[in-house]
Parts: sequence; C-alpha cells; structure tokens
Amino acid sequence: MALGGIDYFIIIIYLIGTVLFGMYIGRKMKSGDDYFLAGRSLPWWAIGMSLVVTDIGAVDMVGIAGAAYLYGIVLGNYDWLGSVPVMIVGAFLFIPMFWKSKVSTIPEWLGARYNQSVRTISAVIWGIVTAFGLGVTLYATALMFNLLLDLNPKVVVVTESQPVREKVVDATGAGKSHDFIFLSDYSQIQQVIDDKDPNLVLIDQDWSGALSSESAIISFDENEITSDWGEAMMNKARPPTWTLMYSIIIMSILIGTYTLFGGLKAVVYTDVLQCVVMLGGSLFVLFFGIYRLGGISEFVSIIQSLGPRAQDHFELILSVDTATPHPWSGIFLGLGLVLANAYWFGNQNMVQRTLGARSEADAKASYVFGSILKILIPFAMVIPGIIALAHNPNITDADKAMATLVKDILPTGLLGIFFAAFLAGLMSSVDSALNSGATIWTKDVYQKFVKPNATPADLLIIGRWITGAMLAIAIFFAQFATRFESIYDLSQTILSLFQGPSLAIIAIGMLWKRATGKAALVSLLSGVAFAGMLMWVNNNASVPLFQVSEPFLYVAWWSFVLSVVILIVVSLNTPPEPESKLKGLVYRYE
Amino acid sequence: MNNVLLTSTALADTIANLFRGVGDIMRGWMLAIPMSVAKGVFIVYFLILIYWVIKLPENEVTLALDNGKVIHLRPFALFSLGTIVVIYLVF
Repeated sequence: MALGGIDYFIIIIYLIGTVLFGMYIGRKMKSGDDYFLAGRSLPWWAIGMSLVVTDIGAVDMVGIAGAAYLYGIVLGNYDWLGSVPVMIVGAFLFIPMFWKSKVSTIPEWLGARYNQSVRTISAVIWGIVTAFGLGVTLYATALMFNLLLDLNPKVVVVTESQPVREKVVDATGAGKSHDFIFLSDYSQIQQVIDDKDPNLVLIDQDWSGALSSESAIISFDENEITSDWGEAMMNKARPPTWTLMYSIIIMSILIGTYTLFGGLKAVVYTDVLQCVVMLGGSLFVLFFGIYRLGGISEFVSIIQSLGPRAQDHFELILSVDTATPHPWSGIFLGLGLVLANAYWFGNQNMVQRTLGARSEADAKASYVFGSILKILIPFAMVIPGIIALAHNPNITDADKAMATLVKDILPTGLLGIFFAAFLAGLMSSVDSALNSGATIWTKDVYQKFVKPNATPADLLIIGRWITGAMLAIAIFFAQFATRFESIYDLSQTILSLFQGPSLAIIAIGMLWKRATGKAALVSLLSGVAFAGMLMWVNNNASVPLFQVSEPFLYVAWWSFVLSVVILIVVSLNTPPEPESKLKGLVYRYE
Repeated sequence: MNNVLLTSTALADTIANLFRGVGDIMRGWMLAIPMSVAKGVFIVYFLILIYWVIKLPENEVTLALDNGKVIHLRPFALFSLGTIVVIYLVF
C-alpha cells in the first residue's frame, strides 16, 4: 500500500500542528530558567511521557525493529532491563538529589560536589558529544523521513538470484540512500518502471527486450559485480530530484522553530502529544499485524518454521557465544549495570526535564510513571520487528523492516496516522538534544567563563542564539554523515567511552561522602583514556580483543570498573572534602 | 605509512595479549554458567530491587504534590518491577 493524498494531508497537518503547539506553549518565556527548565513548572505525567518518547530516537525507531527482525526479542532487554529497573532506582535515589540541589545541568552538580575542573571537563565533553551527536541524529531522522514518505530514489534490480541481489546492493553502496526494488519476473519490469519511476534499472544478462523509461537501463553479468562496477552504475543513474539534504533542512526548520521559541516547556509538551501518537500508532501495528497473521499461535509457528535464522527469536537471554551482538553477560554487566544507569541519571538529555519538575514529588513520580510506560515499548517496537519477519522474511535491509510492514498491512488513512507517529518519535529526540546541549553551553561555559553576572534575560537571549548555532552545526555535521555512514558508529563509540567513567563519579559521589574532587578528576580522565585504549586495541590488534562484533557494552563495563577503583583508591589517599560542602549532595546526608 | 600501521598493530597486539589471558579465563567462566542460572541472575537482580523498594522509608515514597494531593509511589514501583519479573519468567 502506497501513501495516499489523505495520508500526506494527515502528516502535514500533524507537523504544522506540532510546531504551532510548541510555539504557543512557549509564548511567555522571560528568563533563562523559563527557557532551560520551563520555570520549574513541569508536572510528573508530562515529564514521564517526554522521557519515554525522547528515548525513542530516529535511530532506535529504525534500528530496534530492524535488529528485532534479525535477532528477535533479545532487543527487549534494552527497555525491560535497560530502562525499567534503572528508572525506579533513579526515582528514589538520584533524581531527587539532583532536583533538591537546584542545578540546571549535571556538570553543574559535579562542580558543586567535587570541583570546577571536573565540571568544566565534563561540560566540554558533553557539549561536544551533544553537538556532534545532534548532527548524526538529524541525519538519521532525515533518512527515516525519506524512507517513510517514499522520497528515496529507486533502483530496480531484475534477477532471480538472491546472492546476486545482495552483491549488487553491496557493490553500489547505495542501500541507505536508494530504495532497491527486486524483480524476478521479467513481465513486471515495465509496470514497475511506470509506477515507481526508478533512477536506474539493472537487468541480468540473460534478458533482452524493449523498455520505455527515462532512466538508465543496463544489463550486467554476475561476474562483473565489484565496487568499481557499482560506483560506475550509480554514476549512470538519473540524478535524484529529492536529496537527503532537503529533508535535513525541513526537519531542522520544523524542530528548530518550536525549540528555539519555546525551550524545554515546548519540548516536553510537544513530547506528550508525540508520546500519545507514537505509542498509539505502534501498538495498533502490533495488534493489526498479529491479526493479519491469523493470531498469536500462527505468528509463533511462522517464526519457528523459519529454521535456524529465527530459532532464538523468542529468547530474551542469549548465550555468551551467541553470533548476535547481545550475549547475556554483556547485556547484564555493560547495559544493565553501566550504560543504562549512565543514560538515565548521567545524561543531561534525560535528567534535564526532571530538573524542571514543579516539586520533588513530581520529579520522582515522573521516573516511576516513565518506567511503567517503558514496559510497553518492546511491544510497540521489538515485537513488530518480529512480525515483519513473519510477514516478509526476504527484506534485504533490516532497517526497512518496520516501514515495509506498515506499508504492507495498513490501509490508506491509518498509514498517515502511523507515519505521523513515527515522525513524532523522530522529532522528540532531536528537540531534546538541541535543548540540553544549549543548556550546557550556556550555563557551564558561557555563564561560567564569559559572563558570570549575566541576568536571566541575558541567558534567555544567549540560550536562543546557542540553540540556533547548535542547529547550524548539526546541519553541518549531518552533511558529513551523509557521506560517511560510519560516523554514527563513531558518535556511539565516543559516547560509550565517556559514560562508564561519568557514571562512576556521579554514583560514587552521591553515595559515598569520602569521594574527593582530585580523585574524581583522575578517575574521569583515566577511565576515558582506558576506554579509548580498549577500543583502539580492539580495532588495531591482529585478533580483536573482544569476541563480539560491537564491544561497546564490555568497554563501558571495564572503564566503569577501573574508574570506580581509581576513585576509591585516590580518595582514600587525598584529604576529605569539608563536611559543610557535602550536605544535600550525598545520599541521606542533609 | 606501512611501517606506522605495522607498529600500531604490533603495539595493539602487545597490549591485547596482556588482557587476553585474563579475558579468556573470565569468558570461560561465563560460558560455563548454564542458561537457567544466567536467567536467574537477571531475576535475582530485579528481586533485590523489589526488596529495596519495600524497605524504603515511608517519607521517601509518599509525597505531597504541589497541588496538595498526596502520591503513594511504592505500589507503582512494585507493579513496574513485578511486571518485569513476569516477563523474564515467560521469555
């Protein structure tokens, strides 16, 4: 099913409505506190919904369903282990501590608990990572925007051989920028050319016939498929009329408008709207997808009939030597004990909205409410990925599993609502990163080093300028991301290098009053250096150090362990911090 | 350029060898753990958190909102964690 006029109408109305709603919410902005912390007026239910929808970014929406298509329900661990229990711990332990200290950023809290060196280093790392990561998120968002609205240029490949199809996609390197349409029945070629208007048609050599098309139509032989051949073919393709950069700019204008004017308050309340639409749309696909398969037992038996490729698709816990990147040891130690904690109470993106809560009770309740909503996310994102496998086991790019499923099963009208839901999730992650990055640069860099006596009105003005500047930088980085897709892996790697040591100094600092500023500084720097070394060794040694394809879970775990050990040892060998400084910053030490 | 690459590979190999022995031993231990025990580790972790929530002082789980209403967070936290235990028992 293709998108119809009514679907495009719903999507356009939704996008414009979101922008106007965000601008309306933020119309009474007067100070930096209003802009960055919504004047500390946010209720628990709005924060809880905002937390959940912010966590589901563009990459997650594409990647979770795609990974579930390949690996199954093990991806549910990222919410059921990686969010729910950690949010409960955060609700009663970390979040009220941050809220009561009345800070605006996590680096500001680190400055109060330890010293200004720890604050500055932490702020600069987070500021750079956020600006860089925003570019990548924007790129991923635009990628998904193109995919959902069917804006990508198309390549038709006509061959009966599955391995040849895969070789063609690899050789052209255009799997992300172009949609590939595979045909094995030659009689359909003209029909597809007429319907889809492809930019390139590649046909295996056995075929000969007359076709009418404005696109390049090229016959090929299996033996000539190389990367040079692929590059030459793409050069012969008709240039696309719509590029990814157009989508990047459209998304930037839409998201930037309401974030720039409305600050955190607009971000949170548009997130509430987006949460309702996203969860509603995704759960509808879950039920409708299973219904179309004939019920739960039919769904399970179809997956089981797929043989070895899907034998673990209903296993939450996989063996240490699994071929997937999700062994239980890495999931439990790296995700459950380190990355999840670092994300939910060490990441400014998530914590900032609780700092804007109207009371301590609201801050706590938002995390508890969020944890309940988080239980639903694997049902809305992971299981539909498995349903996509049951519906169509031949999708070549797993990242397109969810979009393919909804286009296959949903009727016109509902398709528009669902795609609006998807766009909702995409926008929420970009607006949050934009706002939290601007907060760090304004509060921890501008106010601290440039203008310490800035008035609330000054901070509002500079906050908006920085938001605009970050958006421009993000568009700049996003351009690079279109050229180098591995830039996403780089941003994830940089984040994982920092999260273990960062969690160590926050958690130990909050739980142990003997932890000192000097020790925190040494712990942070050595932990980041150690994580960097592990990554470098893994990538450069003749035989990789870790025996999983993506070792970031183990790198996070070991850098966290080393940072904790260094923090404890150095603290015990340096003078303790004054008691008066620690009150209100250490758990149950008022 | 080739010399630089060879040197960096040699250095990476030397460092990797320092860790590999210990790493292989730990991986062997992990591999020896039966999957049922591994699942038990997850569930015990959730049960410890449930126990911690039950033991939290009343003033940390029952709070007054700005509008004067009192909110009891413990039952919701226990519901959240309890549901996760059930999910891990089923899958």
